Amino acid sequence: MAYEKINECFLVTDLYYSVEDNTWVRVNDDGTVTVGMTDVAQSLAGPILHARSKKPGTARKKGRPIGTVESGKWVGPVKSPVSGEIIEVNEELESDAQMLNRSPYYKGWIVKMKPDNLEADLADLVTGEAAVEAYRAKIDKEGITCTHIEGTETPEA
Amino acid sequence: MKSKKKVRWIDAGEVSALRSQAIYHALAYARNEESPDTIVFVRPAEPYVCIGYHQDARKELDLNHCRSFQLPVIRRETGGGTVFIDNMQLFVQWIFAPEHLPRRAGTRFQYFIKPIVETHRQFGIKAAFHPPNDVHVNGRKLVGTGAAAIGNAEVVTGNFILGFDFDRMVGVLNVPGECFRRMFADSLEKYFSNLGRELGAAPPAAEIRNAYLEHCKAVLQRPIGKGYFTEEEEQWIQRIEQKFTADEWVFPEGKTAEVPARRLVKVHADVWVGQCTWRSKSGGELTAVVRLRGKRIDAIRFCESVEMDPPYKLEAFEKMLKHTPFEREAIEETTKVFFELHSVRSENLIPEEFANALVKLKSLTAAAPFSI
Repeated sequence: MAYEKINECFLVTDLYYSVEDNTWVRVNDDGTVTVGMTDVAQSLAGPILHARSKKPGTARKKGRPIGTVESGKWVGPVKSPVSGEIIEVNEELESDAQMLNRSPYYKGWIVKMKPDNLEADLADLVTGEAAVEAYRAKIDKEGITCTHIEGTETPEA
Repeated sequence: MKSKKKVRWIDAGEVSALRSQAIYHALAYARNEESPDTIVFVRPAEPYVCIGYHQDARKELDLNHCRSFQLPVIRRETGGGTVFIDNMQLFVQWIFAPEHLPRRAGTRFQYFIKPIVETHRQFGIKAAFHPPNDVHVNGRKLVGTGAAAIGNAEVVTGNFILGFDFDRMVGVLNVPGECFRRMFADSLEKYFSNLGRELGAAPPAAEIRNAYLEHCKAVLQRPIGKGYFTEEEEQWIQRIEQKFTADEWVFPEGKTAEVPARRLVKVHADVWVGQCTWRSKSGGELTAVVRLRGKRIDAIRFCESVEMDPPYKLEAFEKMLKHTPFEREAIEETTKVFFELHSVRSENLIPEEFANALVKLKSLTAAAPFSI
């Protein structure tokens, strides 16, 4: 799996990213997308205690919350990087929310969605080298260094 | 993170329980590019119970108790556990542009807590930041906090506790039984404090507010000026009040009302109270309530009669377990040593079973906390 590491923050380069909202999109073969939060997002939040997603069948506009996470006593939304319908949620997060910290790009995926207009939404996201550059700028500007809890599954492994 | 713009402060005074929660949510949702960063002070006129965003009121609270004492139950959008709030608390609420606060949640709490710590110190209390997001004095919790990204704002809340009605608070929590409730009450008494308790009498709220604002100026390094809610913010407050009184908000669908047999409740960052019940191979069910401090047993109480010969040794056993590391081997070993040392025999307290049952509580450490 191709990845980049910037200030200890992992970035899987074949994903599409909303750099502003710290979310990623994986385009699946059947036209659906898998959505999750980035390594930067889990680092800024800290160890996550609760994660809750909207139910399958929920229609979401881009930028609207598809779920919430709670770390310590802070609660924040996970904003959808695409418009569409939630078709599946990662139920494992209900009992093991720290999966979001340990495996943000793989086992810690949040929802699967059937996008309304994927092409248009992907045009607003960045991938590959453009994503690396955008994140490098963000990480430098905001002085972010990623941290990982015990048991983290990194792309290096 | 730096901004030089003036911070607005608003003293909303004494308001209804509902409004004391609605204000900061409303200001966050109403926030736009022109909105100033705002610090709100508010005191609820009547007591109420407030649960964290991810909590389930039916699971966390004794709703019959809340109803009989006419305690409103409000679910907020910030994190953390159940809180009992009354007129003896001065709420401080920050509603800021996200870019004006530290990005990392842990650092943001530390930043928010600094002027609260300094204010307590100014009044002669040796308060200190206690990671990740509390204020302690001599091992006792003085202040709790909560935070959330709401609308276009980052919100952080905390409180100055002038005095606290421990008895009223203990009643609101849904606990497995009276044995647990007694231990929990003892724990609050032992591990919580407030301005009134530390100083003999709490300073007036206005004095606390003014001192706190000076410390905010120093921490934020920005001018701070008194302000008022805008018309739009007032409208948002009413909108949020409607939202928060709807049953589907307080009791969202899909939540469970199940009260687990094993229960572990957070008293503060280092202290937990747990209960476990187990069936001995020799027959009979035993229940123990244990208080943990750090990685050790701080107190333990058996809730039913344990067959012990001689019977009066049970209390000595509970004392001996104090400070034992909360590890299966250590608990089993301490139990065996006690039996041998005091020539005690027991039909139903088997060291291995007892140790196994207790350490199962470890699996519950991520349970929703209860805290002030």
